[in-house]
This record gives sequence, C-alpha cells and structure tokens, in this order.
Amino acid sequence: MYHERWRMKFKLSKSYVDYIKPSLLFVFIIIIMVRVPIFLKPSNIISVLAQGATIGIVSIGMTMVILSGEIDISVGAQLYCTGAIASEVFLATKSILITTLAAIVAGAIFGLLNGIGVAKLKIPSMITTLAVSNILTGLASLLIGSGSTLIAGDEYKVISQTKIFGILSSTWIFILLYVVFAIIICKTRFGRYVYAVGDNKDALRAAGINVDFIQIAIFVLTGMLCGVGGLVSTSRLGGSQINLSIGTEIYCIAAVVIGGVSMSGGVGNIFGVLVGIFMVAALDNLLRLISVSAYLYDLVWGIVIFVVVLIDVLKKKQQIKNQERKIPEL
Amino acid sequence: MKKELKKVIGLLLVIILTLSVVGCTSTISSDGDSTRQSESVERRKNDGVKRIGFAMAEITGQAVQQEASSFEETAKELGFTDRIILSAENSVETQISQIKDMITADCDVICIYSADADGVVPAVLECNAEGIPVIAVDRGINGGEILTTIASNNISDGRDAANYFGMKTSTEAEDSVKVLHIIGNLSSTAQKERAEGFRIGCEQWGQLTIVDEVATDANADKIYNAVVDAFKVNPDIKAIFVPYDQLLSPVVSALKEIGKFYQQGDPNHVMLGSVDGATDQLEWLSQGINDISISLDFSGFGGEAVKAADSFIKGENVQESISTKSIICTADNINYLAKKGVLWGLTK
Repeated sequence: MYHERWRMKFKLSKSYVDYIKPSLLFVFIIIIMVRVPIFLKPSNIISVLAQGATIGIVSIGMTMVILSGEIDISVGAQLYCTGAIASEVFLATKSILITTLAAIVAGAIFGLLNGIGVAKLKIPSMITTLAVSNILTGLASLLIGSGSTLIAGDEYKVISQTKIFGILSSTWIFILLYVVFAIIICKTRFGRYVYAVGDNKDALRAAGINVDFIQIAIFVLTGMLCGVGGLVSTSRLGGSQINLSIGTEIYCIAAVVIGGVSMSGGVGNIFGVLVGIFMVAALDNLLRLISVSAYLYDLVWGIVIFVVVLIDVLKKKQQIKNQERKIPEL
Repeated sequence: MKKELKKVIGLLLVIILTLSVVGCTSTISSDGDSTRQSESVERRKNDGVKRIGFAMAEITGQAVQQEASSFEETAKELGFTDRIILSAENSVETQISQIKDMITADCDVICIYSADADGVVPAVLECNAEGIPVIAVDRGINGGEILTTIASNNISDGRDAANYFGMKTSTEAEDSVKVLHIIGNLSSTAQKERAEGFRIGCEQWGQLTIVDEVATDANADKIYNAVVDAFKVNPDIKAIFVPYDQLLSPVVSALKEIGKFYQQGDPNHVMLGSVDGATDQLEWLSQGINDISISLDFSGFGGEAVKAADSFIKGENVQESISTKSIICTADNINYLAKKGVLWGLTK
C-alpha cells in the first residue's frame, strides 16, 4: 500500500521493463565519469557527433522503415555503393552539386528496388534487402576496381569537414535532415500513414489508402538518405574504399531500437531515436577510449544489440498483458 | 490400432534409413584410398588437359590482384589450358567449397592462398586423398601434405617496420615513443603474423611502447575513428603501424582532421609504417607522407607457384619452400629502387 502511494505520487511505472533502459543509461554515465572523464570534453563530444553523423542520417530512414513494420539490411551496402558513385562523379566533374545529386538519385533508385520488391512483389523485406545488399556490394566493388581505393581528392572533404561555429558540416547535415524528417513523421499525413502501415496495413488498405505507394516511398526516402550518408562518409575519408560502411545496418538498427521504436512496427518516435543515435556513437567512442580488446569489441556490441531487442520484446509482451487486463470479462 | 501400426512402420523406416546412411559413410580401407588416388591421378593424366586452380582468400586490393594476374600470365605461358581462379572473400567455408569444386573439376595442381592456415587443412587433406599436389601461396598452411610453400615471412615484415621506428628514435628515452598499432582483419593469418612481428620488434626497442592496439576489420571508417580517438587519450603518439598499405589512407585522413598530419622532416611528424608496397604508398614515400613500406614480391608469388606446379607435372624436383624477397622501402631509397625496377607497385 505504502509503496503504491509513492508510485502514484511520482507517476512511476509499474512495469520493471520501463526501468531497464534508464538504469543502463545511469550505469553508462557512471562508467564514463569514473573511467573515462575525457569523454565529456567538448572536443570529444563534437567528435562523437561527427562520427555518428553517417549512422544518424541513415537511422532516420531506418526509423521510418521499422515504424512501417519492415526492415532494411541493405543500408550498409547502399552507403558503400552511393559513396563509390559519389567519389567517381566528383573525380570526373569536380562539382559538389552534381556529386550530391548523383548520390541522392542513386540512393533513390536503390531504395526503389527495395520498395518494389517489398510492396509490389510481396517478398519479405529481409530477403529483398539482403538480395539488394549483395547486388550493391558487388556493383560498388566493381566501380572501385583493382585499386581498391578511390581517392577523390582533398577538395572532396569540404562537404563534411568544413567547420561551422566549431561543428563539422557533417553534423550540421545530419541535424538539418533530422529536423526535416521529424516534421514529416510527426506533423504530416505521410508520417501518420507510416505509423499506420506498421500498425495495421490491412485496415489502412481497407480505408482506401495506397499502402504500396507509402511503402515504396519509405524505402525510396531511406535510399536517398543513404545517398547523403554515402556522400558524407566518403567525403570524410577523401574517397571510397573496398567494403567501406558494410555492416553499418547493425548500428542503425541498434540506434532505432534503443530509441524506443518497436521492431514489430507502429510504435515509437523519432525523438527517442536521437538518443539512440547518440548512444551508439558514444558507445563506439567509449570502447575505443578505454581500449577494449579487439576480441571483446564484437562481443560487447552483440550483447548491446541483444539487450536492446530483448527490452523491445519484453515491452511488447507487457503491452499485450495490459491490453488483456483492460478488456472487461464477459 | 491402425495409428499404432503406422507409427511402428514409420519408426522402422527411420531406423533403416539411418543405418543405410551410416553404412555408406563407413571408412574406406587404406587399400581403397590408394586405389582411388591412383585412379584419380590416371584420369587427370589421360584427359589431355593441363589444368591448374588458384583458391584465393580474397581478390580485392592491388597487391593480390597483382598476384592473380602474374599467376594467370605465367600459367598461360606454360601451357595450362584451364586456369581456375576463385576468391573466397576471406571466408574459410567458402574456400573449402571452392577447393572441393577444383577437385571435382580435375585440376592437376591446386594453389591455395589460404583464408586461414588451419581452417583449410580439411580441404588440403581431400586434395591429398585425390593425389592432387597442393602449393601454398603467400601464406603457409598448417597441415596436410604441401608440395611447396611460396611466401614472404610476415612476422619478419612486421618486425622490420618496428625496427625502422626503433632506429629512427634510438636516442629517445625508455618508453617515450608512443606507438599506435592498427590491427586489420582478425581472421587474416598474414595480418595476424605481421601484428605479432611488429609487437616482437617493438619489445626489442626500449623506447617504443604500444599504447593502443585497435582491431578495425580493415574498415576505413573504423580506422579513421580509431586514430581520432587514440589521439584523444594519447596526443603524443609518434608512430602508427598498419598491416597493409591500403589502410594508411584513412589514417592520413584522420591525422589531417585532428591537425596531427606533418610531413617528414617536421619535428611533429607522426611516423607511418605498412606492408605490401602498393603504388600510392610508395609514391607517398617520396612526398614525405609515410615512412616505411615493406614491398612484397606479389608477382613472384603467383609466377613461382605456377612454375613449381609445372615442374612437378614434368617430374622435376620442387623445393620444399620458396621464399620471395621483401624490400624495405623508405624515403631514402625509394627513388633508387624505383629506377632499378624491382618494386611491383612501381612497375607497369
């Protein structure tokens, strides 16, 4: 009774699942303050933001995909391929505008492939995006060729390495895209449809909404974001390399799920994803700052992703239980 | 009753099936082994086609592409009609399947640039059972019968880079020269051996101290971030080693971002060392960007492997191991070596 009054007074949740993430965050902060005070230095925070920019840009698209109840595991390959295309175009034209357009258009085309496979051909998104991932990996490797390093020159670095008010342009690009897509997802009809597709596709279809178009649009937008991400990533390095950005999808999915978006779709918000993006970039940075053994690096990441997905599953079960409790007994 | 009968019949069928599968996989007697081997050898001798296979761990990168093209050219010159070159993308499972495919294709000799020195041994044993000679290229193989091994000494290559750093900083105080060690792909035997050699080399020089070792999966993004973060913890890192040349590009980009890039001759210059001898990194030596690149004889790997295979088919003696030369390239000798034409990275 007594603890129940305290719980109600401070509006605390009954479910233990809701306390797991804040607890982990608390432990994370304590580790940082005790073990790696250098992490909190402004220069390091700015560096973390720059390192997380590419993941952040792609995570925006991944948020929409997961909210709609699908998955896209080709984002890493899309980053790789659009980055290679952008490097080639810049080498040929020396024009940032043409390079940016080329990267975005390429990303849109790759996204369209995914969208058609999922929406029109009804192939599960895991399979479609896996196939597209293999195609794009091969295509990018062909573009880069035997040299295995496509160097576009120091002028190319201007896109992501220019400092504006002390922060790199790659971070500003991410912030701008984040704001635009936050408005789209939260304030527009399209955003509401994204949630609705993830919640109940059939009901939406029955209401006369073109669900296929929305699904295709989600993948196309994700592809375009990957195009920008590829541009930012290769601009940072001054060119492309074999297998650059392959595997990034794991970090993007982790960022989105840490941010509270449910893997089953229809639940979550873009604001939580911002926290997720920062957590992923920060954890990556932290592991390097404390010199975690090479052999433990993948283990740590595996545990993080497992815990994050577990929290999602437990939350879903909790929601189902709550819904069952609300249904009155006949 | 009928249901019970069906269950019993089903169970009996499963038992019969299991027994027949076990029976089929019973071990063949040693007499059977040698018969199978000699039949296999005869079949390949009589088919009139000279066939050679090259199972490569990977084919990305200028160095291994050089290896593959010298293999192909030499095999053509020496009359190998069928030349099978396959890349396993650093996957041991894929490589084992590819080697089995080469056995099925009746290759007279199989050359293996192994994804893992221990992992490919089962495939080598299968080659041995079929009487197909195996040549290890670029990296050794830790099992089975190997006709010859053609490789450079990766441990020695890593140690040479450390020795160079040591010699250049020989007047410095104990543990005062901080070194960042970038490790590439943890599944690559060559990279692991170079890393081991580098560590051994650093231990021999009191002033060198490895302050951080970072595994990066040979991924440019990870290397870039690793360098940026390593300098936050140790801003006075004086040397960086990477296991192969291609990984230097993100290192240089990262140094430029954090304002730690200075060319040779500048007191703040961070020494950069790598292995392979790729074109870009050799050109960088004369520009003062990096300090040492150990050039390996990739043309030699491929060409020598085919020559050894040809000698074996003709019934000639083949040496147990063939060492190819590594050449230490620095800013001091790069122009001389380039004029001599001994570097694969600077020879068209």
